[in-house]
Amino acid sequence: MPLPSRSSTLLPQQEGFSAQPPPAIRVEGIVKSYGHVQAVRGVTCEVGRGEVVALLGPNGAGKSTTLDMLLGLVHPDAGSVRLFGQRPADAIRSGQVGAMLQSGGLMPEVRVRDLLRLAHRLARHPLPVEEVVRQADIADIARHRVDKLSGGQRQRMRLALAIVEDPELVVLDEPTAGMDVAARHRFWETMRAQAHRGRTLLFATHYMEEADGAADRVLVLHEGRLLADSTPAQLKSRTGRRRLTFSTTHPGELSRLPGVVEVQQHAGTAALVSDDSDATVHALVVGGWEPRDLEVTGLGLEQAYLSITATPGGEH
Amino acid sequence: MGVLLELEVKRAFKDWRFIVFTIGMPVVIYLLTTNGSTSSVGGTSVTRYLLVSMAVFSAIGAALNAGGPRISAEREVGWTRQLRLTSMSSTGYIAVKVLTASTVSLAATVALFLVGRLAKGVSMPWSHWIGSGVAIWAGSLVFCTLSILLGYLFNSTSITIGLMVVNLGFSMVGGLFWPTSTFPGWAQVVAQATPTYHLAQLGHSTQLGQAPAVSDVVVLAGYLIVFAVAAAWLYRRDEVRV
Repeated sequence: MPLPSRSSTLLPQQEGFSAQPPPAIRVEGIVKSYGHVQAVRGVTCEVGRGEVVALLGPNGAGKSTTLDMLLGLVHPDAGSVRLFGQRPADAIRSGQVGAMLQSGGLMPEVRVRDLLRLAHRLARHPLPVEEVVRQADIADIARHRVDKLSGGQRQRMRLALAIVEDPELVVLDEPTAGMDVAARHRFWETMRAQAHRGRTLLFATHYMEEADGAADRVLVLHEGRLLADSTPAQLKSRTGRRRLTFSTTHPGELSRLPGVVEVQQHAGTAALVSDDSDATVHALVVGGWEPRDLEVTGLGLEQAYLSITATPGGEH
Repeated sequence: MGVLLELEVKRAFKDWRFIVFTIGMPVVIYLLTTNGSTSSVGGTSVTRYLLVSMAVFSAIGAALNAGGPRISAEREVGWTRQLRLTSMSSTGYIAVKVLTASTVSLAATVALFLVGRLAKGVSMPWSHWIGSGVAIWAGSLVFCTLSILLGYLFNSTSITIGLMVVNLGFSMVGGLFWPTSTFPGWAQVVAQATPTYHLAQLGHSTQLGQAPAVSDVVVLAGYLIVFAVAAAWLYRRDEVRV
């Protein structure tokens, strides 16, 4: 076998390292226990640059601990975390990472604009203040005192602190906790704009519709383990169950119909969950139920999520 | 760090209730205890002697109250955590807290001196005013550091009582309210172990234009080191836990 010439293999090999920049997040087998409680039991995942990823899980699933380890605020008992190929603390210090933590508070007794000015001055390569104000949508609260903000305003202020560095990666821990519906809607508008700017976003949530609406990818965390890693659509299609709603005056027992696993009935309208919606619909029609206003819909991410977390071991 | 210091000092002085009570109480005590007094103590008049005692009481009260309570509150709301996600170092954060407490403590010292000069007609050469002022202010750094320590030791509810015990305990035992010469023998021994006693001695000697005694400086420096080491240890414990 002839020796490879310098130009043909050595250089491309070196380029091989630089042409493939390290991913935004690389987590390998992180584990964390608090006393007897195993909060995180070995999580491995990778998030590429520009991806929008939801970390989904119920309370106590280990989401916050995972994010804390990701940001270097908590040291894992085992495993490693690299952000853009660096240790979390270094990536943060160089301004590549911004974070909005559930437990990350705001300095009390000061005004929003003063706090923003502080964050701006502490930043290595900050966005212009007006730009942060615009992107985080805080122009209306700039003169307010931090301790007097509502839940939604507070979260927007935290977002401002998270993006002031113009970071490539933004990590958000339950960013819409404590917001009403309108504030949540407004917040996700802002986040979509952030994703369009090419930022990598990783957000923890327990609201399915947020993961569904905003994320390219969903990681399901349950009892400290990753149970699924897929797109919202794949996750939803994993369960074949459908919901059927209709009106009927037939007095029969709906739960006897084929495929039906759940029945809710109120004043002439019925809502069924069926494993085999085709068979159920057929039986309804042939059995003389005369269903009116029949609708058949998929169960959505929530049910898919429940079906995954209910199975011990999940997909693995 | 400069921006944070500016913001912290602004915040401390904007809280007028805090300023009025921290600086006002020693002033009121000074005015009440020296009212109509013509006697002398420690080789000088009571109004002049107590001026230093109360300036020390004022300075350490300001130092203690301006640092710790905010740290324990900020630990609770998670502001210290959020700061760890910025380029601000933890040493920077603590340095700012010490400097802020020290600024309030300077204001408290100056306020008391002004009351002594303007309301009670205490007169001294300028060098003595400045000498004792600087000595008290510099010595109160020990209490700024102690305050940081307490901020990591207590939560925001219990720190109130912790500060009161430390402040009044050190002030009474250290002889700020009554000269230690009136204490029984064993109590004098205890008094001389407190940093307040040595800070007051530092103030009294510089007020008379004497050089500070080495023993006072050494004891205060010793306390400063002990408090700083303990504060650093508590800080690390806090960082690992949160």
